[in-house]
Amino acid sequence: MANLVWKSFKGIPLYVTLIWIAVFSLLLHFLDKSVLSFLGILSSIVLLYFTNTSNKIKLAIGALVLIVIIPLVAGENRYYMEVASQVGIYVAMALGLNIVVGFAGLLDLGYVAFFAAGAYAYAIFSTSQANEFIAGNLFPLSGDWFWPFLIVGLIVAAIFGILLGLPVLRVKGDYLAIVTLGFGEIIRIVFNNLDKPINITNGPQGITPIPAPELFGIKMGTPFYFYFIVLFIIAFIVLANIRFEHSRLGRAWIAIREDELAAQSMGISLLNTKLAAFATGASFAGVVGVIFAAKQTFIDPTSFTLMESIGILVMVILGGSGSIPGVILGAAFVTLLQVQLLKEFSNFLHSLQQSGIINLPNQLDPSKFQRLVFGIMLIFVALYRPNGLIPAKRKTNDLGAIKSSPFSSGKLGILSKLSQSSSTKQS
Amino acid sequence: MLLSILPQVLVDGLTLGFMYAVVALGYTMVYGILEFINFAHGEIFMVGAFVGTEVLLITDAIGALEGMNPYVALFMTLIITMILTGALGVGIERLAYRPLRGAPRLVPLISAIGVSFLLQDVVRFTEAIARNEFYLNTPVLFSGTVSVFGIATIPIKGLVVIILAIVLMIALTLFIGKTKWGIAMRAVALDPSTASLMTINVDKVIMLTFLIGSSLGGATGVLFAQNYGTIDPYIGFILGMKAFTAAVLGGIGNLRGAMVGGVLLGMLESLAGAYMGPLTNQAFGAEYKDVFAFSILILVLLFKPEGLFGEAVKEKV
Amino acid sequence: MAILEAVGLTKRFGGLVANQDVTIKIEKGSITAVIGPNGAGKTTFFNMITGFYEPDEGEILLAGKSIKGLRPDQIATRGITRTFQNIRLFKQMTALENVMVGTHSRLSAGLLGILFNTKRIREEEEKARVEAYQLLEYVGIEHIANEAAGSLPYGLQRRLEIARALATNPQIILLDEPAAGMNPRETVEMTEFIRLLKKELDLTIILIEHDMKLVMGLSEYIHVLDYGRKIAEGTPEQIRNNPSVIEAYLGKSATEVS
Repeated sequence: MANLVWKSFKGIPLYVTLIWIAVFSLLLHFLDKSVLSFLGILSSIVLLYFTNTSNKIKLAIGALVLIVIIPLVAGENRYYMEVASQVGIYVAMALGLNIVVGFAGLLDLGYVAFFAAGAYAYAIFSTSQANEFIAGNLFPLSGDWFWPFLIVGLIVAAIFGILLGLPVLRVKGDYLAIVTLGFGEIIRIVFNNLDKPINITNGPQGITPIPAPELFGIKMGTPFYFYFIVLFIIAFIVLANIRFEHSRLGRAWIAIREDELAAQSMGISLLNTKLAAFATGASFAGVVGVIFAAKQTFIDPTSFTLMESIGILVMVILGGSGSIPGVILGAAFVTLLQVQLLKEFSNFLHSLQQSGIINLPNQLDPSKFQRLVFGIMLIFVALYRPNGLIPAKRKTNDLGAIKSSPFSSGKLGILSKLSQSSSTKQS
Repeated sequence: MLLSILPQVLVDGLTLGFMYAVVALGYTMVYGILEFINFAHGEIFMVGAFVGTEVLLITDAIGALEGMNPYVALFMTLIITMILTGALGVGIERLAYRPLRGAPRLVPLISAIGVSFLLQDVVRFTEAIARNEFYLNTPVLFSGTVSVFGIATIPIKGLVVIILAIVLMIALTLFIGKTKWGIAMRAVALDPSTASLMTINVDKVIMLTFLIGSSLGGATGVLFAQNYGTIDPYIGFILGMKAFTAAVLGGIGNLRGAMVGGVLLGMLESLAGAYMGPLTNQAFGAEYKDVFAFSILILVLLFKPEGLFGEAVKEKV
Repeated sequence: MAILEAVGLTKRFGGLVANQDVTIKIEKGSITAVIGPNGAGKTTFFNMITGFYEPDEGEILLAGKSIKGLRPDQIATRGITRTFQNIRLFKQMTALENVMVGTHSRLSAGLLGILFNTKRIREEEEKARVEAYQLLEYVGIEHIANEAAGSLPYGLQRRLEIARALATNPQIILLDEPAAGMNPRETVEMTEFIRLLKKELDLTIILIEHDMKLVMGLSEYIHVLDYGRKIAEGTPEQIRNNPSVIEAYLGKSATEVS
C-alpha cells in the first residue's frame, strides 16, 4: 500500500516549494531569532530535491536560496550563519567519507585523522608554532595564505591517506574498521604528545591564534564569510562526487564494494582502486580541516576524537551510503540535531528546572546525548533502513543516445572480430 | 635501576594480560561462529564492571558486606554479574544482530557500533540518575600483598584476578571440549550449514555463544573493577580494542590463541609502558602505550593475519 | 599451438591437497572441459589459472610466458577472464554498468581527468557505453540494460556475467558451470551460445561442467580430475570409454559390473 502511494508520488509541485521558501524567508526576516523558520529555510533544499521540476530549475532555485536568500535574511545574525557554516563543514566531510564508505565500501572509522591533518597543516604554519622547528622566524603567516593552504591541506591529507592506506588497505573487510579506528586513535595520541621531543603540535595546549582568511585586505573572520567559503567548497566536492560516481573509477569503487573477487577478475587492481578512494576522501577532509582551523582560530586534539569519525559515519549511513543527496541530508540533519535541536531541548529543560518543575541532574543534559542518539540511529538504520533515508540509485542510461552515438556505427571491443569473421547470425 | 622494577612490571602485565585474555575469548568465540566482530563486546565488559560494583555497593548499603567473607562476596558478585551480562549479550544478539544475518557484512558491524555507543550512554544515564555520578569507586574486597621470592610484591587482588581468569578459561575449555553443546559449537564454527543438517540448532548455538562470551566479559569487568578500584562508562572501549588485538594476535577464532594472545599483549604493553620512556630519553613515554598496542594489531593483520595459532584461510571463490 | 599450459600445478590447504601435479595444455581456439566428481579440485584449478590462488608448485604459461604469481587483475588484463560457479555480479549496478566495468582496464581515465571531465574522457566513456550495449545485444539481453543486475532472473544473470567477461576483451574464457541450474532447453541454448563464442569471437574456452550431455556434445578435449589428480584426458569418445573415469564417477563396483 505504502509503496503504491510512493510510486504514484510524482514529486512536490513547484509552487508549494516556492511558497514554502517565501513564507519562511519572510518569517525569518520579521521574527527575530526564530529557530524554526531558519530550519524551514534550510529544509527547503530537501523539499526542492523532491520537487517535480527539471534539474536546471532546481539547481537555479537552490543556488538562489543558498547564495542570496539565506545570507540576505539571516546574514546579520551571527548565530544562524555559524550554524549554517557548521552544517556546511559536516556536509563537505560527509561527502568525502561517502567516497570511501559509500562508493568503495571501506568502513573507515578513523576518517577524522585526515581532517586533523588539514587543520594542523594550516594551524602550525599560519601561527608562530612553526618557528619551534623551522629556523628563521618566518612565521606566523598572514591570512592571505589561507587560500594556498586549501591546496596544501588537500595535498597533505591525500599523502596521509596514501601513507595510511598502503598498509591498512591490505587488510580485509571488517578488520579494516578496527584498523582505521586504531590508526585514528594513534594519530590523535601522536598529535597530543608531539610537543616533545620537538614541539610540532604544541600537544594538549593546542594552537592559537590561527588567522582568519584574508582577501584583498579584507579580513574574513566572521561566520558570514565562512558560510560562503564553505558553500564554495561544497559545490566543488558535490561536483567531484557526481563526476566520480559514474566514471571508470566510480564504477571500480562500487564494483569492489559489491564483490572484490569479481572486480579483480574484471582487471581492477584492488589496492590502487582502494587507495584512490582513500586519498580522494582524505583530501576533501583535509581541505575542510583548513577551513575548520581558520574558523575556530584554535585547535587541539580534542576536536579530532573517535566521536567525530563516528558522527560523520552516522551522517553517511543515515542519509544513504553512496547517495549524494542522501549524504547531504544526513549531514545536515545530524549536525542540526547536535548543534541546534538538542541544545534547544536542553535549554528548554533547563528553563523547566529553573522554574522548579523538574529536577535534572547535570549528567542528563540532552546536549550530552550524542552517543545515545548516534547509537540508536546506527542500530535503527542497520535494522530498518540499511540503504538510508535517500537510498543510492544508479543512473539509468539513455539507450536512445547510445544507439544514435557515432560510435555505434561499428562493432567495438571483442565484437569487432564479428565483422572480420564471416558471421552468419547477428541482429 | 631499570631491572629492579622488572618483576613488578611483569606482574602488572600478567594481571592486565589475563583480563585481556578472558575478554578476547568473547570476541574470538563470536568471530569463530559468525565471522562477525562483536564491536559491543567491550561494552559488555564495562556493563559487567558496573553491575558488579552496584552489587557490592548495594550489599554494602544494606550493611551486609561488612561481615561477609570477601571470597563469598566476590563469588556472589560474579554469579549475579555473569547472569545479567550473559542475558544482555543474548538480548543484543536477538534484537540487533540476528535480524541482520545474511545482510551485507558491514550492516551488522554498523549495528554493533551503534549498540556499543548506546550502552555507554545508557550506563552513564542510569548511574547519573541513581547516583548523580558516573565515575564509580568499587568497594575493593581484598587488600594486602604477597611477596614472591622477595623480588616482587603481588597485591592479593591481582592474584585473585589471575587465578579467577585461569579458572574461567579452564572451565570454558572443558565446556567446549567435553560437553555436547561445546561440540555443537565447534561444529557450527566449522560449517554452519552442515551442522544444521546434522540437526544442530544453529540459532541456539549462537545464543549460547553470546551467553558464554558475554558472561565471561562481564566477569572480567568485575575483576577489572576489583583490580583498579574506579570505573567509568568508557573503560570498555579501549580495553575492548586491546582484547580484540589479543584475539587477532592469537589467531581469531582460536580459543587457546586468544588466551595466549591476551597474556602476551598485557606483558608487552606493561613492558612498553615501563621502559619506552627511559629507553628513548623520555621522548616517547607511557603515553604511547596505546599506540604500541594498536601498532601490534596492525602489524599482525598485515604480516600474519592468521595470528600465532590460527590457520590461513582463503576466501571461498 | 598451446596457448595456455599448466605444468605440474599443486595446491595444498593445510593437510588437504586440492590439486596434485596437474598438467593441462590448452590449444588455441579449442573448447576444453575439466570434469570430475564434486571436490575433485576443478574450481581450485580455475582459481590458480586466474590468480586467486597461487600454486604451491608448478608453472602456468600464457602463450609461453609465465603468469604464475600475478594478481587476478593482472591476469585479467593479459586476456584470461572467467565466470563464477555461483554468479558474482555487481548487484546494485545496472546490467549495462556491469558490462562497462569489464572495460575498466582498457580505459584510461584517472582522478584528475574525471574531475575536469575532459573531452577525451567523455568520448572514452561514450565508447565504453556503446561497447557494453553491443555486448548486451550480443548475448541477447539488451532489453534489461537499465535494470539492476541483482534483480534479474537467474538465466539472464548467467548471460550478463558472460557479457561482462567478454568486455575485458579476453583471449581465453573460463566458464565455471555455465549451465548449472538451467532446464534442458536453456542448457541447449547455452551450448549453442558457447559454440558461437568460439566460432565468432575466436575465443579459447575452458569449462567446468557436470552436465555430461553438454560436456560430451560441446568439448573437443576433456581433462578429468579426481581427488586433486588428473586421471585422464582425451577426446569425448576416449573419455567415455576410459575405465578409470567410470570408476571415479561411479565407484569401483561399477567397473566390475560392466
